[in-house]
Order: sequence, then C-alpha cells, then structure tokens
Amino acid sequence: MNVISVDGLSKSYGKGGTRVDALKDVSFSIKQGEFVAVVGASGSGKSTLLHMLGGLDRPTNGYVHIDGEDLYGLKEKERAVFRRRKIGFIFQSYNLIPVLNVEENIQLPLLLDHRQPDKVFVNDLIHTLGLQDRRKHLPSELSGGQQQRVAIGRALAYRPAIVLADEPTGNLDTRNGQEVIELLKLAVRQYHQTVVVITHDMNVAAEADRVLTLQDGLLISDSSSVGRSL
Amino acid sequence: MERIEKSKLGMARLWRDPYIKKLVLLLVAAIFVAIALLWIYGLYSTERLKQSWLDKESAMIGSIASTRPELANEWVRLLSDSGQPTVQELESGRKLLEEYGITSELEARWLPAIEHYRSHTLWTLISGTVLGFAILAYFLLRHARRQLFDIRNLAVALDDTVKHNQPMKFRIYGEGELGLLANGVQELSLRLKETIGQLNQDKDFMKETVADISHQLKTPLASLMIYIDLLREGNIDSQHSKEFLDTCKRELDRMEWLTLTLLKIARLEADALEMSLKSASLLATVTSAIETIQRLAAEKGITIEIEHSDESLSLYQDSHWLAEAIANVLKNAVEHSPEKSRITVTWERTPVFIRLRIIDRGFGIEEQHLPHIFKKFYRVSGGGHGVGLGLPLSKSIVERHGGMLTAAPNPKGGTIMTMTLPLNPLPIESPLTNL
Repeated sequence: MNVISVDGLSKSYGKGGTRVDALKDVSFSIKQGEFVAVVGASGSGKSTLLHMLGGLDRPTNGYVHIDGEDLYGLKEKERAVFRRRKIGFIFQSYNLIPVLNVEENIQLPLLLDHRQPDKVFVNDLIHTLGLQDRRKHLPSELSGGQQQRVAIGRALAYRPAIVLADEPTGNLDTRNGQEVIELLKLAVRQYHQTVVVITHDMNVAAEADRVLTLQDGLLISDSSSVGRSL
Repeated sequence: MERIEKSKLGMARLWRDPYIKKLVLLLVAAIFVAIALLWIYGLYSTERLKQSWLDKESAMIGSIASTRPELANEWVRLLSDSGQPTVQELESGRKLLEEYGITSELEARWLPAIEHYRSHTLWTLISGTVLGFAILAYFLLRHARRQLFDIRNLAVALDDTVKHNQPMKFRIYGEGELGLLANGVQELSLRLKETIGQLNQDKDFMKETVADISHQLKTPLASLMIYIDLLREGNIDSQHSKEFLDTCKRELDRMEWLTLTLLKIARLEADALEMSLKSASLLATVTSAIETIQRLAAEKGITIEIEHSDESLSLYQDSHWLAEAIANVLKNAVEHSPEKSRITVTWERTPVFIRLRIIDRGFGIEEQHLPHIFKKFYRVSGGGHGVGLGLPLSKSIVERHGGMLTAAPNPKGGTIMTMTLPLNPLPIESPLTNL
C-alpha cells in the first residue's frame, strides 16, 4: 500500500529570466512502513520536496497523494486539518513553542484539534523519550537532543501516517543524532508509520530502507540502502 | 480512560463547531434583516398615515377657509403648534366631539384614514412574518441538508469500505464534531485495511514457515532413512555402524534444534508468546547468556569478555528470552571468529536506550550480506555450519522488547552487532486519543 505517491511534481519560483526550477518532474511512491532518506547537495530541491509532501507549499505542476488523498485537491482549510492529523513534522531547529512546557508541546497537535490527550499514552511516550524528569521544563531549559526528542514526541502524539523530518540531526552531535534516528526507526515499526528524512549525513542515510537522491531538482537515484539496515 | 465529560461539551466547544457557527451567524443575520425591514416599514407606514391625515386636514381647512377665513387662520396656527394640549382644551374638545358621536370607542372604519392604516399594517406584518419565517426555514433546512448530505455520504462510503475493503471514497477534513467523527471513521477504515493486510501477511508467513520446516527437515530425514535401512540390513561392520549411528545422532540433534528454534520464531512472530517484562539486571542476563555459549567458545579457545561502565544497570526485560537472544548472537560471533580470538560484550546507557554491543574480531560479514543476515535460513556462503536461524530468532526477541538488532562491520575487522533496547518501550497499540 502506497502511503505517499508523487506524480510529475514540479516547482518553480519566479518568472521569466529569474525563474528557478527547484523541482523538475519528480515521481516516486513510498510504501507504508518505509524509512526513506532524501539526500542531495544544498539547493538540490530536498527541502522544496519536503514542503510539497507536507502540504506546506503548492506545487507548480503535478500531484501529491497521501493515503490516497490528493493533497492539493483539498481546500486550504481542509489541508490544514489534514496536515495536523496525518503528518508529523520534525525540523532541524526543533520549532518547539517556547512558552509551553515539554508536556504541552508534545500534546500541541491534539490541543489544536480540541481533543483531550490520552494521559496514559502521553505519559508512556514521555517515559520512552526519556523526558520524565523534564515534563514541566520549557524548551529553553533543555539540551538540543532533549528538544529534538520533544519534537519527536509531538510528531508521534497524533500517530500520524507519515512523519517528515528536515535535517533532524543537523544541530545534534553524533550521539544524540543516532538516538533521534533510532527513535524514528522504532516508531516506524511500532506504529506502522512512514518516515521521510531529509539529510546530508550519510550515516543517517545508511540507516534508511531507501535513499532518494536529488540533484538540481531531478530525482537521479532511488536505491535500497545497503548498509546497516535490518 | 475517560471519553466524554459533560463539561467538555460546553458552550465554548459548541461555538467551535463550524455547523453551529454558521447556524448562529444565519440567525443573527436574520434578526438584523428583520430589524431593518421593520424599521423601513415603520417609516413608510408613518409617512403614509401622515400623508392621509394631512390630506384630511387640508380638505377641512380648504372647506372652512372658503366660508370663514378667520377661523382657518386660527386652525392652521393650532395645527403647526407643537406644544402639548392642555387638559381643559382636551376636555372641551372631547365633549364637543361626543355630541357628534365621535368617541375613542368609535370603530376605526368610520375613520377611513385609521381604517386604511390598520388593515394595511395588519396584512403587511402578517404576510411579512410568514414570508420571513419561510425564508429562514428554507435557509435552515438547506444548512441542515448540507450536514445530512455529508453524513449520508460518509455512511455510504463506510458501507463500501466495509464491504469491499477499500479506502474511504468520501472523506471530510474539518473542524468540529462531524470532522472528528469523520476522522475517526477514516482512521477506522485505515486500521481495518492495515489489520487485514497484517492477517494476510501472517498467513503468508505461516505458509513460508511450514515450507521452510518441511524443506529443512526433508534432507536430514531422507539421510536418516538411508542410514537406518543400511543398519537394519546388518551387512555393515561395527566400525561403520558406529560412524552411521554418530551421523544419525548428529542429524537428529540438528533436527531437534531446528524444530525447536523454528517453533520459537513462529510463536514469537505470530505474537503467540507472552513476554513477561520485568526490571532485571542486564549483567545477570549477559552472564547467563555467556554461560550457555562458554563450552562452544572454549573449544575454539575464544574468550568472551564483558566491558561495562555500569554494573547495576537494570532493564525492563524478559531475562530468559533476552539471554537467548544474546546467546544466539554470541554463538554466531564464535562461529565466525578465528581460534583464540576475543569477543567483547559491552553496553552503554543513553537517556533513551541501552545499547548492547557484541564485538568480534572475526572474518567479518561482507557488505552485500549485511541487509540479509537476519532473514531466516540466510547463510553467508562458506562460513559456519549454522542453519541461519539464530540471528532471526535474536531479532524477533529483541523486537518483542521494543528494540532493534543491527549489524555493522567492525573497523578493526570483524562485526559489531548492536542491540538497541529502549529503557521504556514505546507504548504498544495505544488508544489514539480521547475525543
């Protein structure tokens, strides 16, 4: 079952002479439970691709289907709800809400939907993330690794079908970075989630089931990672 | 888990529902339209009344002026006087009018202007109100219909999904109670599909396992048959018959191990086996795993050493099974190590995991084999004499602990096997959220 399918996706910025093609006719599909890494030099279109997958930016051409839903066929409002319920985001710079504590940050997607978080689940999740002593702390009181774990918790709280991570280990040392990737891999298996990680770290890419390589907006290779995968 | 509390259906929550929001907006709009219409009608009908009253006055003044002009002047002065009439004026005026039979009890139809005003106002207000309610009802019904339409489509799509196991054709992504209901239904259909997929996978797995077992048992069984037939014929000298018997014993041992291990894996992977996870010392588990492998290691003169920083580290585990997982990885390491080499078991604790590493200095595993070594019956050609079940069994056990088992080449030669075990496993199949 394909969770993500991308069809002839293109994105260009600007017009005429200043036109920049960030993505050129990219097509691929991702099965449920896959852990996919997207690699490429900076400016290769990785981030643009992630934004398109997450419904954050409208493509110039082409389609993105998530769970069989045409992402850009939805109205703006519907897409916002869809994004909140179906897609978890993890960013390089964590993007936690500075005035909310750990627990509140993790529950944020649920609170935005006016849902009552399941206390048992959230509590277990906080334990798994090793944040049980930090639950009332603000993001500014946490280390980078801890902040990224909070972000992972936030991405998992709704148990979205897909998790999109943009350079999740970019600001972390090797040790914390490894931990973040291991947590994501565990989540994929436990919750049948699909993870797409953008990275330039080849160690991270080596952990993935599949590696997509972008160059100048083109998908130049799509390979099963031969490495330390299970 | 509490699901619904009355307080959670309070007004604030009600207001967030887009359906209610629209309804309230519609009603407020209706009220404003009604006020505006009544206002306009009020002005208009007063204007009409004034007009007909003035007409009457003008006619009276006209007729008086033609006979008594001085009285007409007085009349006009009184008419444009905006002061309140005095009690005496009212009293004497009423008395005079009473003599002509004009009192307040007089029916309005004797006063044409009033009668006209009355019937006009009455009919306009009644028909206006009826029309207003009709229009309002139309909009309310249309509004309700849209929601009913959504619910109906959802029901039809759900029916299709249940019957044909397809994804929902009609979906709603919205705020409010209907949005949440739709979301729940959509999730349910996805889960259903997932579960059916899982069941099919289990079926395939069962088939595969049965095929594996029969394939793995056929060969040794066939050779056992031949040896036993030869032994029964009795034409063999005692030297050979002892050899045959030894071979038979070896094959039987192998078959026993094979069946037991396959059964274990099958039970683990089919979730038919309960792990009893308890907090227990990791050191004790590792030690007991090493003990079971000690004899095999000693035969090759291999030493297994433990290197750790935290002796008292405890882990949520089923120590019996985890020891078996570690022992199988160790066994694999011993089989792939040269004589008189060292195998190191080491672990570290991170905020989230315990990472247990088993490091050998053996021949290593070639890069192309790494992704496959945890598959059942996968054997790196030439190396070892296992059947390729030990590592898959270890992997299944580690996964039942909520962890991962990975292999990587050791930069100094050999292989590093890493068990990543979460200190607190991710919550298993949890209820999503409370509504």
